[in-house]
Amino acid sequence: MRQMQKLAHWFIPHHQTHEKAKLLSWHFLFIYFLLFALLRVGFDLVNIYRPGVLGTTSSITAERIVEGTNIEREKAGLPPVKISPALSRAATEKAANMFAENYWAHYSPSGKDPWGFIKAAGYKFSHAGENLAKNFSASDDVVVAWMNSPTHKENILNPNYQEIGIAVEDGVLQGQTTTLVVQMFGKPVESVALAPPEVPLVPKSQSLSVAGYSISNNSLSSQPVLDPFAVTKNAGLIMIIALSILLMADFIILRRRGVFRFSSHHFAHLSFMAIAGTSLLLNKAGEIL
Amino acid sequence: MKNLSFKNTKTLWPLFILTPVLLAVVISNQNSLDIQFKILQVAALIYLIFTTLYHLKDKTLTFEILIEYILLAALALVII
Repeated sequence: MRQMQKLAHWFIPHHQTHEKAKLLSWHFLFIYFLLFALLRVGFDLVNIYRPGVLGTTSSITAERIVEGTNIEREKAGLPPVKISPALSRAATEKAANMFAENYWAHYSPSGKDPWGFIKAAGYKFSHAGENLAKNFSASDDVVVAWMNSPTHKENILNPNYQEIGIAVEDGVLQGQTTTLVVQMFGKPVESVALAPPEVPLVPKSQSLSVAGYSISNNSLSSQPVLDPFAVTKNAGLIMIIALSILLMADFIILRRRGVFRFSSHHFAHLSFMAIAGTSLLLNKAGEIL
Repeated sequence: MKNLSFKNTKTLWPLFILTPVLLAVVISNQNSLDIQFKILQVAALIYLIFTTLYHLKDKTLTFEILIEYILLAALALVII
């Protein structure tokens, strides 16, 4: 009986002292904090010392991205964009360069810009734009994410663009196995030969921000062992739900016992947990640029 | 018991009022992880300020209670 009471005290207030459940004590909160901090640091260390072990796998196809892009253009009453082999070459070169120089940005650390790749592929343009995506698992999610971003949406729905080039490349970027999607738009210069000259449109989606990088990695075809995003999200959700259940149980049991205990406020905790849990639940893998 | 436990709940009203507001902001910015994280940082700050004020007014602020709030806020931030 005593053993059972001891065991129950891990989850509910003590039957005599009404002390908070052990799993809700600040000692355990500290342990949970340390475990999650270690998980984060561990993933970073694996990315540095064992690049390619962590990451995501995907079923993204260039055809589906083009299809999704044209569906969105059609919805907006715009003509579809046609696949340009030169733009696709430029996109592939851009993706290869991103893996080689290990960066996540529109501009490479060595100063290469998107327009340089397009020109190098032999594509003469009057207008051109670039959208990037990584860590997504499905083609439709990539298009949806771009459409949810005003600047990327502007590129997809730009009436000036007539052609498209897509590269979907697997490799190791900043230590993680990922699928990189490079979408390039263009309007060939021949088609505006009679039109007054226009200044090439530089998409607002361009960014000079370069995420932290250290080691250069060329693309690999190996499958990642673990998806750090999914692990952190699932473990975090389990933790938040478990703590919320324990807090509610603590509150209900104390009320039933008719006991008042000087302790932290249950509803304050639960309010904050609701915000943290919702935020975590809405988190999606994948980044766009 | 009722009087004791809810004596100074008024201090926590802003926290309870702000919770649905912050939830709505989180949901409306579900496509931006950066904004979500910033909202959570603001929420953590509000949570710490109002709960500390609550216990100060209640004269029940102890090291254990304070560390509990800080650890819970830190835990949420490290999870996200």
